[in-house]
Amino acid sequence: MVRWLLLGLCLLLGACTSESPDHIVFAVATAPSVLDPRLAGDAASERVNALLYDRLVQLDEHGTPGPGMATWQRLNARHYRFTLRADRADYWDGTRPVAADVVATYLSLLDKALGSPHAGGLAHVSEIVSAADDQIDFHLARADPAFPARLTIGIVPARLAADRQAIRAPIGNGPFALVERRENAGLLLERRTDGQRILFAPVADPTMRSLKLLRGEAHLLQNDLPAELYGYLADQPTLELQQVPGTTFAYIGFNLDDPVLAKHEVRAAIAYAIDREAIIRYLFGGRAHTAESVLPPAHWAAVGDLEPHTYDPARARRLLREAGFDEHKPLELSYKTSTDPFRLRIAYVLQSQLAQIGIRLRIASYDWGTLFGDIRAGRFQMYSLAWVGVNTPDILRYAFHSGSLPPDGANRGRYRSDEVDRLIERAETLDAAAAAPLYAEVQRLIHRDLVYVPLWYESNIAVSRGLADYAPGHDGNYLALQRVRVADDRIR
Amino acid sequence: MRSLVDTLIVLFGVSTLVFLLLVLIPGDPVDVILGESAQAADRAAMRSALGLDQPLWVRWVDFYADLMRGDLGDSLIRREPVAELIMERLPATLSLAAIALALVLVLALPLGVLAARRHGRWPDHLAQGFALFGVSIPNFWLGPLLVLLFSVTLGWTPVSGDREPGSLILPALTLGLSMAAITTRMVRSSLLEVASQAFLRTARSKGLSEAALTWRHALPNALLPVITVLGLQLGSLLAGAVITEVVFAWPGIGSLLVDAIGQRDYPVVQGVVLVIAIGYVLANRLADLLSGWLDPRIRIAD
Repeated sequence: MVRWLLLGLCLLLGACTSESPDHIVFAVATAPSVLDPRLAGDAASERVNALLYDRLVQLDEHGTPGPGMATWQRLNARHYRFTLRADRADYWDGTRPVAADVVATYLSLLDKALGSPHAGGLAHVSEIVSAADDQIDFHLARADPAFPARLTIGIVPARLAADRQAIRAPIGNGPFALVERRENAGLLLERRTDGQRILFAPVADPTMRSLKLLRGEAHLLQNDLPAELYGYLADQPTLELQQVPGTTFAYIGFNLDDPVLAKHEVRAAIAYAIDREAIIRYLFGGRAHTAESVLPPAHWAAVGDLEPHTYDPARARRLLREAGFDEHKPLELSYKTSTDPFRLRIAYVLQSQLAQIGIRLRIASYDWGTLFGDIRAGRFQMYSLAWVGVNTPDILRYAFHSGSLPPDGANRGRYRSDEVDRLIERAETLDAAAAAPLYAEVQRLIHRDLVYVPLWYESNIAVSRGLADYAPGHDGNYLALQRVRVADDRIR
Repeated sequence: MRSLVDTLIVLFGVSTLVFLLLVLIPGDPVDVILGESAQAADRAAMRSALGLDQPLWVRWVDFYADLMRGDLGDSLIRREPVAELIMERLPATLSLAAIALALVLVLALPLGVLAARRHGRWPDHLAQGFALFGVSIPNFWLGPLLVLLFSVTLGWTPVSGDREPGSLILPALTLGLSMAAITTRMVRSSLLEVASQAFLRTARSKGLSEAALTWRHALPNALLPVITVLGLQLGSLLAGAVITEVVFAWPGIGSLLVDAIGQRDYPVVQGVVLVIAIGYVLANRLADLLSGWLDPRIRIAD
């Protein structure tokens, strides 16, 4: 009876079919907000824009810049010349990207009226001129040896860049072309080499995303699932789970202006009281790696000799006593986190671990905007966040230089160290080889001073069905879609 | 005329509250647009471009001037006009609400009538059980349960989205079930109340069948409170669709609102809340009109 009723409803609304589509369905947690690389600020938009637009420079997994659609020469400390490669891809409409497109893209990006989130990192660009049809000169107001690494924004056609609005009908020269975009109902891309189509289907709820994969309505998921769902999906014979080390750096931040947390002993006690290995094993199901610094180990400016704050509750108790706190004078701290259920679960484990050494942690959970607003304003004692997509050592100035206190940067803990400032400023004037030891020293000082308790790098995990040759990028990018194959003919 | 004035006053109050959202919500729109790495001069320029450096009353006047022109501003994240974003999503929400409402009527009227006619017997207990179940079970739990049964286990419907035929069935069922439960209870209790009235005894003494008595005489009289509740619920269908749309990845204004809240996209939040509020007010006015049409005494009282 129920079946007949449902069948009737199906007839009323069309027909219930679950035929295999002719495209690969990639179920994502959020749809890209803008298909304009100049304005893309969120991870979802940046990852999809990287498929639609080529860039002058590409960063490899070590954060080292390499030629994208251009090679470059440093003519002097403040003058770079980029030459477009002869084998660069055309735009989808058949036109060839030329220097004027690059100039228009970057000039519009620096235009205050556009309001690009990338403008801050290029504020020292004083002039951009087209030296020839395929040559672009960038003049800088100050020396910047790391400048090429900043030119990773997709190049849009000059006629689209002229408008001081977001591009609504994008035309790119990346490996994929846009076929169809419906507001939050999906984004259909076509691979330019062989016509393989990929549908990005936004499904916010992680359980529903997993169910779509199980039923065959989706063929690929990447990240943004609770650990227990990964465990469940990994056990399904029709699905394949792939895991690669990630660069998303999770940490606990301290407010160093707080009189209690200004004491190094208190911060050290907290660091030694946290059993990161246990959290990774039980909460992440082993799908994360302990971290010591914001720059991932494979990065050219990373430091490899940082002594971890290994779980040692006895040492933590001793340090806390040295700071003047014990069972007669217990320490109470507040910890701000988001409303994400998984982040809250981590918070409760931290609360339990800190309770073992006599710290009472009050957990305050806020929606993202309130949490971020409080952190920017310094209204916190401890908080937890993560740095996503760290590719350049600029992060060290941005997050730890005393000139980067909010609103001028992301030194949210209000850390001030003349030595760190001096080393960062010196490193920024040097080539990578000479700068690397200075950046390493900066990271040693930050680690010693415990500005953050470094927690872990979360792995990038893809779960697929009937696909081959896909692995998530080290920073969660989707670039492997350029080579993904349908291994199961039912998807074709 | 008086109801029109009342409606306008309510809409004015709602839109003012919605405007104040922008001021009251913690956080800075400039941070949303430019990020943390922006230079002070760029931040000041953006603040000026958005009019955030103006006194509150000037912004309030500008807000109304824009609203009168149908301009809800631009999304801070998508950089598109909010009105266009809403218009693109609104049909999906309205179709979901319409199907859910149809489901409510199809389920609640017969069940309520059955429960009242078989008062105290097993059909009544069954209907009451359904009502209790529908009211108690939250949408975010019911949705995945229905998907597990109908999509994953039986394979009858798609899991989510709006690309496949039949995609609307489970979201509409999820959204409509709790409303159907409340309406079933309302129909039942209203019918029981009407059943003891004199005009029904008269009709029965004239030899009318029980079915004719119920459908032709009792139900129209019992529907008045039901319509009032339906009016309230129709408005809340728009707001209630938020959870359902997120669970089923339904591309309506509910999921737009949730995304916008997460991204601090204040103009979009303002616009969607305003549309939901207007929908709520209009649905209630519609219910008032329907009540007046069904019962002339209400029109006379007005």
